[in-house]
Formats: sequence, structure tokens, C-alpha cells
Amino acid sequence: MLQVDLSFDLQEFSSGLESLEVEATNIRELLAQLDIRFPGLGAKIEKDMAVTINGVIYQETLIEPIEDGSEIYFIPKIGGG
Amino acid sequence: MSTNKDYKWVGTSPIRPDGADKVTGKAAFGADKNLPGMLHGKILRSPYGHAKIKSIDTSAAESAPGVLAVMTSKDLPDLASEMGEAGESAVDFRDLSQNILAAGKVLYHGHAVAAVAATSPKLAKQALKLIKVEYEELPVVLEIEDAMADDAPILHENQFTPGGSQDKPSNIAGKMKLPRGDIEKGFAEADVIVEREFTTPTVHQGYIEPHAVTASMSASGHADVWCCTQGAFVVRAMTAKVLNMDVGKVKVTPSEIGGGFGAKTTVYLEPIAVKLSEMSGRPVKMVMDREEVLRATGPTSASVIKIKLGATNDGKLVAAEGTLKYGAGAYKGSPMGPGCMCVFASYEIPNFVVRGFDVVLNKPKVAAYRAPGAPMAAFAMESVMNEMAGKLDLDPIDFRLENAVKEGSVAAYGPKFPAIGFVETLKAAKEHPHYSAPLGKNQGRGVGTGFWFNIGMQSSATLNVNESGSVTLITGSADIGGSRASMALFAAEELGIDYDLITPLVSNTEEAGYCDVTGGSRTTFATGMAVVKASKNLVANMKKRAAKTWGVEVDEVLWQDGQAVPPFSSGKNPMSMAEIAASAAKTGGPLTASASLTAQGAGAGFGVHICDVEVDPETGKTDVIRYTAIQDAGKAIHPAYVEGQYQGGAAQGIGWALNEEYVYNDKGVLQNFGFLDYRMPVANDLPMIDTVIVEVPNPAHPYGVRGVGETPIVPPLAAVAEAVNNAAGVRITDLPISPPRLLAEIDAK
Repeated sequence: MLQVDLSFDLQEFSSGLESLEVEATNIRELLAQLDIRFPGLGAKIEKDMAVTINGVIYQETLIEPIEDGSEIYFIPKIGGG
Repeated sequence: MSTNKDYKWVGTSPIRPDGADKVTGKAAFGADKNLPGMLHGKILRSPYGHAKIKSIDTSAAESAPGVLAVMTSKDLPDLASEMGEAGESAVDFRDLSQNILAAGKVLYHGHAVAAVAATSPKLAKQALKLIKVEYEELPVVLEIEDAMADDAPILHENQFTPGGSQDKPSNIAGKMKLPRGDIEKGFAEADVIVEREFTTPTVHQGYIEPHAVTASMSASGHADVWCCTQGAFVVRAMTAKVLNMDVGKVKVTPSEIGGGFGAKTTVYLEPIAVKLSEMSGRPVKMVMDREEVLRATGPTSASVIKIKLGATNDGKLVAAEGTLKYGAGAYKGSPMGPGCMCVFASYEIPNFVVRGFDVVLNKPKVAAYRAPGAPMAAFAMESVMNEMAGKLDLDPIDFRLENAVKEGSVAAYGPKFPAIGFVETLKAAKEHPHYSAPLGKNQGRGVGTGFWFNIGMQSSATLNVNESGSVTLITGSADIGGSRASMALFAAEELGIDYDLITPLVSNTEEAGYCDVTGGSRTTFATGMAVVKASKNLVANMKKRAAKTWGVEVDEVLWQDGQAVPPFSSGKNPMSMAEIAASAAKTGGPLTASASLTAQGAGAGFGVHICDVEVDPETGKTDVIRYTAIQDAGKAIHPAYVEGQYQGGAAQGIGWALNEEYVYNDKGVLQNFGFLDYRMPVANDLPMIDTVIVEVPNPAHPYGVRGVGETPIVPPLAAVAEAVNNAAGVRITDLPISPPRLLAEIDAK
């Protein structure tokens, strides 16, 4: 089971729910599960957000494996100069 | 500086492979490309800061001597609003197209309106004067808070604030909120509260080389583009999108680049040059002059940032509130998001809220600039941290150490930090002799810190082994800071051969594997990872070839010091790379290896800067007399170039703090459009900038690399401002701290 925390700007999809538990073994499964519970949330994250797994930022990946018990957070994609 | 003695090449600082050509004038930059029959393109730009375009008549220009093509936005496909990935961050392709050539309205002085291709630059310029544009002038809005007002002139009638009224258009294009804990409770626990508002002006990246492109469209519809860019693949993607072409029909070859700092991650001229070439049937060259660069390319945002900070008497932060407003220029997309995520990222604060606003204005659309959004946020937060340390009678570094994030801390933007080096960097600053050196009359010292995420993204690398055993190393990552040398060091280390045997190249979009832009401090981290992976693939292949030659199992072959070593029992002698390459035809053909990846796990960078200034109380002039930049690099692959990044970022940040600003009149016309009046620091304005490379390895990289290019511009603004405060006794909250502004504050004291 994964601990997923939603930032304030994503809580509009979850009716204000700040955190939830999700069963998934990679990012693709995680986003699919979120989309089932909160339609549009998974798609929004895939399009606009980076996924952090235990603090490590993953951008542009769906296949990254996630270990059971990991902490998940989503942040806006980061660019740079 | 530290170096790891376990490596032979990584951690050394050899001469850059492109160095001799650059110092002898042989390196080819963007404007150096010429083709037979080439035309010269020029742009007609708006004389108004904001106006409707009622009509454009190009007929006289079309028949002018030497003119072979004239175009306006009507010659570009009418794109729907669509966000897409194009380089470092998302872009709305409709905005991109309309920024390249205005459609319906001009949104800033200098906005491109039409373009001409003629047989000489002079004839092209003369033809521009024959284009008749009828405008209806509109009121301009140049200041962020003016643009947010209910009665502000509206730039885009179809833009509405997310979460706001969907009936009334707005200049507030985006909002963001990051809350944690209970700030009312947090401030109630605070013994001391500091609250201040800060402003920073629009500033330009100030790269020496203006934008330049040469394009040639073939009769079969294949575009060849040569340009100076931080990312050939992003130029390809954007040009293809704006012209509704398949990316496979656009080939982009990057030239050497005379600076970018984030700004050359988008396109202005390239689609125009391709279209003019298509219309004229001739190659077209376009080169901006300095005035065009300053008037019409993307600077970085002005900002208005308010910080409220609460701490207990023992120096613990308990609450913070930040409101960050960034000007985006003419189209949405300021660095508000990263600014909000960075502002409290360096400290453990149990209760806070950050609110961000992305605001459009009648100025050029902003482009990326080193750590976009972070320097302004750090100027505000670090200035308040310095003031708070004074009120608590604490050493400013000790106060930061008390609250610094470390491995396991929950970052203000959400996740827990993996291994980071902020504490180590702060301690290195405190121990540096500069920090305790005595100061003289009218002199002061300030400290500032900075954070930047750094990024990974996509990279590729290919190694081709030559018959002699030397290696050609090809990537598509533009080299803006010496990355060819770093790539060669990685390959030399992995292959076990001399650095001089490797020729690193930056190739075009048809010959190199895909690489995202050189930006986000990603190239040494991510493209370096691809080079390491390709090198390991090559070593595996060469071990197989040697095993075949000797008739042994590949598992029995070792790779040591650039040689395949056979098992002792075989009685064979080791084979060098040259020997393996020489026999490659007999063992399976040419030796080549590639790797492509999406690099994950970029390591956050933290820096601490110490600045000493001397203020002339008679004139308000500030001289930086000593400066030290300390930063965690993870691992410095080429330490001299890491130091160069620290020094360059510090120099740009000092300029931002002391002198640089766009000065507009009330019609939105930029007044200081050259380097005489847009005052960047030059060599004799600055002392030698000392550096300390801290190395806390990033566990996600095979050599521990973090990015280093962006963090160094984050700390200087607050460090300089605090030094001025301590020298002159006045706290400046509006940048730049120019002599007139500082003198007025001193006189008012």
C-alpha cells in the first residue's frame, strides 16, 4: 500500500481529501488508480506534474517501480534555465 | 576544492576540446553560417506597447528592389491553444506562434509584426519601411499590481483566472497555493515576527551572442536550420509545430553558442526564416541586433514578493507566509510555480502558506533564466532571514543551521529530501576565512543562501571507436558551459583511456540521438549518465570481441586501464582498445555503442554566498570588494568549470542586485536597449570570486553528480542587499540597489 499526499491544488479533484492509500506497483498503475477514484486526477498528474517517490523526483516516466510503503507526492514539472 | 583520488579523469580539469577554436576565432557561432544565394531577413516591430492591428499592407514592400518574400502572421497556420511539451516546460503553441508574429494585437513594444527577405540587409531594412500597418493604440500596463487590478487594461480577452470569474477576462493567468500546518497557531507561537515586501525588476540574461539563424527549405519540403540554441531538438519541435510540419522534415544544427542562461530554449526567428526560405526559394539568414534582443526576446520576470516570518527567541522558525507575484510578460508562463516551491524550501517550517500569481503585462514574454523564479524568492526570504537573525541576535549562519533542511526533512513543496548538502555547505561557509575577516569603514558583509531542484529529462549518447582506438563521442546536448569536456571525462574514466583520445561532438537532430535542452542544470547529470551507460555498453562489446579472439568465455575477460585482460590460464596478452578496434572487422564489425534514457533522481543543489561591499556615502555607489560562493556539487566532474558556473552565477546575481533593470516610459517603450545603459557588471566591476566546492554525492547518479549551473544565481541578491545594509545602515527592499536609490535612502536616514 502506498501513502499518497495531494497538494492543495490537486485537492479540487479529491473534494479536499489530503491523503489516501493506493495499491500500485508502478507509476502507471498509481495514476490509473487515482483516475478511478477521482476522475481526471490521474490524467492531470500525467500531463502537468512530476511524481516524487520517497522524495526522489521522477519526471516523464510511467514505468518507474514503486515499492510497497513508499510515500508519494506530486509537484509541478520543473524546468530550468 | 576536493577531488576523489579513486578516479583518474573524473575530478580533473583538462583544457576544453573547443577552447583553441574559440580563442583563435575559428569557432562558428550562429551568425557565421552562410550559404550560396542566401537572402537576409529583417523584422518589422511594433512601435506601440499595446495596440490593435487594424490592417497591414505589404504590397509596396513586396515590389521593392531586392525583396523576394514578405510575411505576416497570416502566413503562419492558425494554431489552436494547446499546451505541449517543448523543451524544459510546457508551452502554449498558439502563444508561441503569436509571439513570433503578432496576430490581431501587438502586446509589447518591439513585438514582431512582419518580416522581409531581401538580397541584402540594407534592402531588407528599406523594405520594412514600406510596410503600412494601421494600429489602434491601447493603454499599456507594465506593473504587476496594476495589471492585477479590476480596471486594468486587459491583454487577452479570452484569458480568465483559474478558479476566478469565467465571465470577466483577467491578466492573472495562473494561481498556486502551498499550505502546511496552521499559520495562525504558528504566528501565535512566535516571539519575533518580521514582515516585508520586496520588488525586483525585469532583467535580461545578457548573453553576448544575439539570436541568429540561417534556414534553407528544399523543394521537397525539408527544412535545414542552423542556429545558436540551448536545444536543437526543441527548436525542431517548436519550428515544426508553428509551421505545421512533421518534425522529421526539420533538421536543426546547433552552432557554438555565445551564452544562453535559459533564454535560448525557445524560438523567435527560426520559423520565420524557414517560411521566408520556402516563399523565396532561397536560404535566408536572420540575425538580431542588441536592441532587438533587449526589446523583443524573453528576459526574466519582475516580481513583487511579500514575506512574513515568525520565530521563537531560541531561533526556531514556527510560521511563514509568502505571497509571490511574477510578471509573465505578454503571454502566460512566468516562473511563479518554481518560485513558490523554492521560497521556503531550504528551511524546516511547521506552519506556512505560499500563494503565487502569474500575471501578464505589456512586456516581452519572459524566458527561462538560471533557476527561473528562485532568485527573486530567495532575495525576499533570505533578506527576512538576515533581518530575523539580527533581531534574535544570532549569527546568520547559525540561525540557518538551526532551521536547515537535511536528509529526511519534508520539503516545503511536498516530498522528503533524499541526501542533500545544505548543512555541509553552511558549515563550509562558516569555516571559510572570509566569514571572519575584518571589515573597514563603510564596509559590510552579507550572507545569502539558495536552493534549486535541478532536473533530469531525456538524453542520448553514441560512441564510435575509430580504427586507431580513439573514440568519437556524439551527443545532441548543446555545450553552453564546457559539457563536451565533462562528457569526455566520463568516457575516459569508464573506458580507461586518455581524455585526449576522445573527441566529443555536439551534432544535429538527424545524427544525434534525442536530447532535451541544455538547461535545468541537467546536462552533466543526465547526458553524462547516457555517456556512462553507452561507455559500459561499449566495454561489454569490446570484452566480447576479445573473448572471441582468444577463444575464452566473456565472463573470464576483465577490463582494466583501457585493455581487455585475458584469464591467466589462456597464456594470452592483454588487448588494447587500438588492437581490438584494428581487428573489429574480423570479430563482428565496427565498434559502436549508444545509450538513451530519461534521467531520474536529479539531486537538489544548495549554495551559500558571502559578500563584502564598500558603500560610498557621498554617491551611493556600491563596490563588491570580496565574494565567496560555496555550493554542493555532488561530485565536480570538471572542477574548473564547476567553479566557472559558481562565478558566473554570482556575477549575474550581483548585477541583478546592484544595477540591472529594464527602464520603460509610460508608453511601454524600453529606454535602455543597449549594454551602455543596461548596466551589467564587467570584469573591472567585480573582485575575484572565490569558490568552495562541497561534495555530498547524489546517490541517484553513478558519480554522485548534482547540477551546478543554476543554484549560484540564487543567493547573491540577498547577500549583496544584506552587505549594503550592514555597510550603510539602510535596508533596501527594491532592486536594483543603484547609486541614486541607495543615496536617497542614506540621505533619508
